[in-house]
Amino acid sequence: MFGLPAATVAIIFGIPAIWVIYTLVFVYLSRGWKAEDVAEDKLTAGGSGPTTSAPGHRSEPENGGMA
Amino acid sequence: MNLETWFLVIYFIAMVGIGVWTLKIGNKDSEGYLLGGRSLGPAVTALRLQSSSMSGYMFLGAGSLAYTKGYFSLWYAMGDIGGGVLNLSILGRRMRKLSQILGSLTSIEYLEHRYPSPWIRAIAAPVAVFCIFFYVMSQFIAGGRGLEMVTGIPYAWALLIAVGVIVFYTFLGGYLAVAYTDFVQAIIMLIGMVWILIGTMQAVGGWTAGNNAVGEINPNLLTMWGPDGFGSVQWGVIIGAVLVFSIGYMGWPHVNVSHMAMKRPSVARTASMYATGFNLLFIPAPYIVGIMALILLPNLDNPELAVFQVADTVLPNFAVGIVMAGIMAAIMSTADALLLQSGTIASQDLFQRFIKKDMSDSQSVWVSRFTVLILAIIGYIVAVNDPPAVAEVVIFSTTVLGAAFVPVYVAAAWWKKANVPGAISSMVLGTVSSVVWQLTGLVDVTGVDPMGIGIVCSTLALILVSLATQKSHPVPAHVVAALKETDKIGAIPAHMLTGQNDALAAQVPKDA
Repeated sequence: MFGLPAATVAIIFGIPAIWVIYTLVFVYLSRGWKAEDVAEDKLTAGGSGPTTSAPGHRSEPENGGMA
Repeated sequence: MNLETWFLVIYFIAMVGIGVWTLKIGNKDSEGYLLGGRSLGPAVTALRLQSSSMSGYMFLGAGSLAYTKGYFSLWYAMGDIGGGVLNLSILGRRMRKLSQILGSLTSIEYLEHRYPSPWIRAIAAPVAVFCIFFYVMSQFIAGGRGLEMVTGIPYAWALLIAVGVIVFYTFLGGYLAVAYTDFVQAIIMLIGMVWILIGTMQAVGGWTAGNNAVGEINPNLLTMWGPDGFGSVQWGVIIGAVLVFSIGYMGWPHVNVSHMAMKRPSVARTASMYATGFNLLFIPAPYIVGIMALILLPNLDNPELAVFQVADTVLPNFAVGIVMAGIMAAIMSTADALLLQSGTIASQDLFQRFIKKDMSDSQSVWVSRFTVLILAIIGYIVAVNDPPAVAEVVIFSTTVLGAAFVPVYVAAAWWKKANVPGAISSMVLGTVSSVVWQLTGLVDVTGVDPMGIGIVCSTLALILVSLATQKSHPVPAHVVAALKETDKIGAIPAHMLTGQNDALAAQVPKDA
């Protein structure tokens, strides 16, 4: 294919494909990170500053094991 | 003045304009100057991270490697494509959150807060400044050479212009200027490189036809094993090539500071998609162009100029101007990040930490600015009088940075048992082993890349020494608490936040 040996094609397309899959898995596993933004937005709107926890706010465990 | 030069002039004016603009919109305190007020979104974060990682090497070294080694050179690209997402997914959110909890403004200061000992900064800062200074000097040289080639201006003047523009906007706008110019420069780099690739493919009659023609020169050039075939392949070099540009980024202080400047920890998630997308489009291109240069320019004297010369051959004049701006963008986006980082380390991590602890924010910013200026002048003098080879300096400095800092940055965010003796021994052993491996020629004897050796040594040192000294040097309770908070998804509780204070190595939460 493309005038290249099969091993070259497998490597130059296979490894980037692995990085794309890694990115997609990371994005999927980190989907819960939006909760962090929502918590900060609520605090900012409440005038408590962007990085101060609201009373009663409970932090969630981190999603996935990738980040 | 020719058309190419006009494009460069417009480009330079635009970069200076961004510097002036960020001076107006940016905060005037240290956090504003050094971290852009922690205000950057995913697109700027990702493209800033990628453009500052990819130096003039992508236009000079990559093309040269491809011209001489064929598809073997793409091993470097294979690691490079995943470098951004790896860095953002492993360090991004955690480093952003932990640095805010610990009150860190620089990536070296962050290490001292995580591993509370003045020795951490006393070792990390000189190693980082040393490597970064040589790295930035190589970018000055590449910028001067590029400008000389395009405009015909003598090297000394071309170098002065390139350095002058970089210093001007870094001096004015600090991190915000660097981040926004890097963002714009990443887009220019991408346009320039894709344009060259398309032009090259048209010139050789398509990728398949080009590969067939390269195969007639030497069939081994089409393999991933090098021009001498499978029998001569050095697996240690291949592993090192993949490592340098994938996990190696996680040890570069000027790249890691991107995480600390994110608007929110979650920015890392979206930024990872931008980074991978950019890398897939940009990174393989200079290697493919370099390989096709074997057909278009079979008798090239200097392979480092392969991409430049191909652009000049296959593109119309106006497009060459844009491509040259892209090349300068790659060089300048790395140089500005390095320059700001070295200025920051010198002012914040050395001067303020060890010499004048009661500096005001304004004084600190000015010390950083003057450090940028002084380093640029020294870099210019060295570069104009006795310029070393660009590729050698880049590989040497980035290898040492990676070997010295990758384990301490990763463990800082992920391993609660990583302590001060472990971090010190890791940085020292990583630096010494990678430097010795390169300087004594062990690379050629063993076929093992110094990056691989350095990373193994520094990682083992961190793990073994940390475990052996847990009782004598436990990780402080406030650091463990900060790491536990970093594990969680949620806003940082007020009592966890730590402000800047004079006793940086031993700082504790505000209300403690």
